[in-house]
Amino acid sequence: MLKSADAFCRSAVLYFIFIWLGLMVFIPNLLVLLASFLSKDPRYFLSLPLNLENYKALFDTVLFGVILKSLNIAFFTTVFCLLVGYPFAYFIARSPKEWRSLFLMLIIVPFWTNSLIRNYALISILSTNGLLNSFLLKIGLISQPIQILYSDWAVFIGMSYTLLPFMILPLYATLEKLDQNLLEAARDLGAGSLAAFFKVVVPMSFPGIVAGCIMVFLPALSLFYVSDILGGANSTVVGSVIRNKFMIARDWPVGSAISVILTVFMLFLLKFYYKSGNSEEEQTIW
Amino acid sequence: MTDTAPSSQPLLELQNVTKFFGTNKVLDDIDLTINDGEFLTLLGPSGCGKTTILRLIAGFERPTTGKIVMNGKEISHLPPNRRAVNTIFQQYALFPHMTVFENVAFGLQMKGLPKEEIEQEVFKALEIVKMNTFYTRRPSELSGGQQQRVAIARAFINQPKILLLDEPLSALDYKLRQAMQIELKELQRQLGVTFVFVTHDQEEALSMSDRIVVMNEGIIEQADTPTRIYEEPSNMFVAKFVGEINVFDGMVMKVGENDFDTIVEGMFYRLRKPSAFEIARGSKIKVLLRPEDMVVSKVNDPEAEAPENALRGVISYMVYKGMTIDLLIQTAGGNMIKATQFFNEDDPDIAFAVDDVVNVSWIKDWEVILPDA
Repeated sequence: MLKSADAFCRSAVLYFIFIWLGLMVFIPNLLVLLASFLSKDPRYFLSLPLNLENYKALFDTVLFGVILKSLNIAFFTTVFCLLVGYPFAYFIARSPKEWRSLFLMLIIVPFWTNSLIRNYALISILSTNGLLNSFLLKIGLISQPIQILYSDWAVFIGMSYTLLPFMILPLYATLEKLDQNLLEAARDLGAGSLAAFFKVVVPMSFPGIVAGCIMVFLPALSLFYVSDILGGANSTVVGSVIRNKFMIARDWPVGSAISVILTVFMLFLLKFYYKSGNSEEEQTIW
Repeated sequence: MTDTAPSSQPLLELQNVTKFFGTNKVLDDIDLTINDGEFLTLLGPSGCGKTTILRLIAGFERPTTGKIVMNGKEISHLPPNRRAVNTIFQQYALFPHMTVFENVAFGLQMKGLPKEEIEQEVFKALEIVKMNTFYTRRPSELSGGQQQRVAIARAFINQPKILLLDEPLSALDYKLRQAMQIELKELQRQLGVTFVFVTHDQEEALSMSDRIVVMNEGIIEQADTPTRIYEEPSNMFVAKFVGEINVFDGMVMKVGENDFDTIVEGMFYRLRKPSAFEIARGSKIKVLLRPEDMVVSKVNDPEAEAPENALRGVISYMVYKGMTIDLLIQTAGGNMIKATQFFNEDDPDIAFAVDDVVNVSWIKDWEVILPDA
């Protein structure tokens, strides 16, 4: 009696998830994939015939240049977040237990403010007579205010600021689980603290590194509002291109084609992530 | 606290070592000398400070006060990687992202040895622990016993002066533990390295060690050979912690040249004077006896008086153990006496049954006398 009720609940939940994923994820993605092979239509947005023109359009010099530049920004944002986030996560994971939740709290609190608003706030810091320039002038590093806002640098700063927590949290999750005995074993076997770090801590936290990089790199390609707010007219990320294709140029097929490429890229990275995790044991972080 | 190992050469000394964790004192003024080549076991209940001593020697902790001296040089403040000691961890702590080969090679790589030499040494070490066919495996693909062997090889390949073992057998099942005890002992003999072994298992301690250090609440209760720890415990804690023991209260009536008179369980006894402390007339003492030192004989006529030096009792519980039979005997005074008798089918005297009336005595001079603290 109880058992069958239990079994019913279980299958009900499973069906619900399957239907949800089917309706909200699978079918929409399939539609995007289909759209990427259709032609542009001024009235109905999409029309036959099927063709590969949309994918060819990706290699159009202007579009291709934007994609390359966006990849560039995303890459440097990821590297920067990794270099800053790793010591950060390591420090939190190694601090006394009662302090850790406080530190994590400090990282999470900014999330309670809309990131759009936080990026607007960055304008006042990065503008020509903003806080950053005044500070640099004061310490004598520069003699004249420099143009940071509305440059790729501003986009890079905005992206890094917005996405840093997404690097820290998965790194923290793996570093916190790291068996302290392994570090002691390395030291015991003659490794100095640096060698122990690079031979044991870094390889052991590799799944966290990959997870963090994915969680920073992909949004860094598509967070169009950051580049819109901070980058001005001359800075665009792939996300803005997709938005523009759909909303302004009304070119759904090319917009879809770019989306498909992004999705494929993401799947590729996810596969890499699972491979990195499976070598030890099944460990997923998010 | 006499040192009984004959050709004893002090290798490592803990001098007045005290260790606090916060306000919690885990080691209280410890003095301990570890001799070159010995198998020393730190034995005690959990929280007695035995693991802390191991971690102090390894360099994972620093003494709050006091010194650690190795070969005459103070090493208290050296980091673990600069000490000639290696540890075998309780959960082995093998690097999960490395193969067996890489794990064992780690220490030599840190020393910067050439590749060919490392390879040679690693296979030699794996050969000793019989794991050479497993060198490509990851730790997760090995059983507990196999991981144990790899951990042992990974530690001794560095040719440490001391090998520290932190309850290394506790995660293994009974059969495997027995086998590994013999192997570890054999390995120690083969390598000639000093072993410092931590355990809370007294059987393990008794069967493997040259010397046992019994610890309790941050102090050393007794440091001696297994035989002396078992047969001549120097205080009540050691007596009760190591093995089963019967404790009788006694009152000293008269003190002679070599012996003294006392009343135990209402019976008169003349016992040999203990050498460890001065006995005074009128003082209270404890008389300790191992169950296997008790002599039990069946009484056919309960009306007859008990012979001299024997207590009268009734068997209240019996456990058949194959080679021996364990008896729990209730005396007239209401005390329980544990007695272990070797089973002998030819001997009718040992055919005991519950509720049998018996006489209980002990083999003369095998008792241990301690002051009643």
